[in-house]
Amino acid sequence: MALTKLRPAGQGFVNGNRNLIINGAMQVAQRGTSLTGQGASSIFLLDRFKMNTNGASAGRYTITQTADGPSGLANCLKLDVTTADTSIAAGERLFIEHPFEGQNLQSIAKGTSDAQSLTLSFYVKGNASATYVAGFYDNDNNRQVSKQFAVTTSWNRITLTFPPDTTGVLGDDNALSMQLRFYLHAGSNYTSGTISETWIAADGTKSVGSGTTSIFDSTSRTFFITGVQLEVGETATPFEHRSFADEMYRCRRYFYKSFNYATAPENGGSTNVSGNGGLLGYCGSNNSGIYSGVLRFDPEMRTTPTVVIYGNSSGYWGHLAPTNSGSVSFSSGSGYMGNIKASGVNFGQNVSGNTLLIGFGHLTAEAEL
Amino acid sequence: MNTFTNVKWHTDFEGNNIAYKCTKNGQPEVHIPLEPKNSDYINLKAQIDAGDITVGAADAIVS
Repeated sequence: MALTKLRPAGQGFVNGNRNLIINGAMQVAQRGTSLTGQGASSIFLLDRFKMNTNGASAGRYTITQTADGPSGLANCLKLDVTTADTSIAAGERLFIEHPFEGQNLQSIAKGTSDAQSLTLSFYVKGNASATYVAGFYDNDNNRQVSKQFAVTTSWNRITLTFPPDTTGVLGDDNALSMQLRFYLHAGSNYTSGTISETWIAADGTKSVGSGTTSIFDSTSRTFFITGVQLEVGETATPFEHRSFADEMYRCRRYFYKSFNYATAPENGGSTNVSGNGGLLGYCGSNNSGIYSGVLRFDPEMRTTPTVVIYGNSSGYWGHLAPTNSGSVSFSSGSGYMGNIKASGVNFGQNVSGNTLLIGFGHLTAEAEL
Repeated sequence: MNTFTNVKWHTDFEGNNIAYKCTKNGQPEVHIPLEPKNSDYINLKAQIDAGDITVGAADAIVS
């Protein structure tokens, strides 16, 4: 019987788990599917992709998760400019960011003699031809590298290979170590130098360079992106598709909500706090010192999260005496947060009166980088 | 830059400070833990240390 020689992993096969990007197919959007009038502050809409701005520009945009994409990719992140800004001050900047924990990038061996190249691939299109910039910022060592790419009115797959960096080791921990950035708007503080396609010490003037488009140059501007993939090495392989559940689980390390997936977190809601599914609850007497409500995060979150309580229009949880006849009241002491940990939260009651109370409401927990 | 208003201490039932409670970018009922790796804590603490934000006393625990 003939023997078949087994080839080492990576030689001739396309292996799984090679995409370092989470939610690259823009499948998961826990916070909602549309936000209008954005540009004054940094925000997340689609999970893991942050719109990062210093708020200096008067330009405004709508961001949506849009059912559009090249063959095999059903969704994309779409930006639609609603207010133009053609008077660009030196310090203005807008970029799409995908942040990384250092412990998830150890395979690139950055800062060592074995440092690896990185190959970034993604699909983009726009309303017209444009030139933007993609690059990386090493937050641990303040280093950077960037490359330009072209956008047309048709979906195109862009592939950019970035050289290895033998300077600056990334921390092997859960802190922010590196950002992938797609620069879409920048003032002279970021464009006056020559873009550096090799890793250099941080120099803002060389992060974007000249000859690039500002997405805010017209209210006609749109920008679509999906299929974002980052791989170790110099070759871009076909996009690694993951299931929705797989991507959702990865995203929940950074953002969790008690609402049903299809319900964007909001106060009030269409049918009050009890109408949005996935309700949290507890039972206890006032100020009993007992946190009878508990929610465990699965997976454990990146770090101790910021917890936001959602309830009535003021954000207060509801409570009532368990007689099955009383009306629901809302007050700030209902759903009192006691323990907030990366692994979960406890909540209880801090409402006037000593009646046995049932409390209920929603929350979000955010541990973004 | 995030905007934090009405920033107060948030205590557990034993009176220990465990978080800041505030309104963030217009969103009320935000609990920010005292965790140096939490990005909201980093942002808020910088504004507190710079003297731009004063932290108020925690709401009383009802007895």
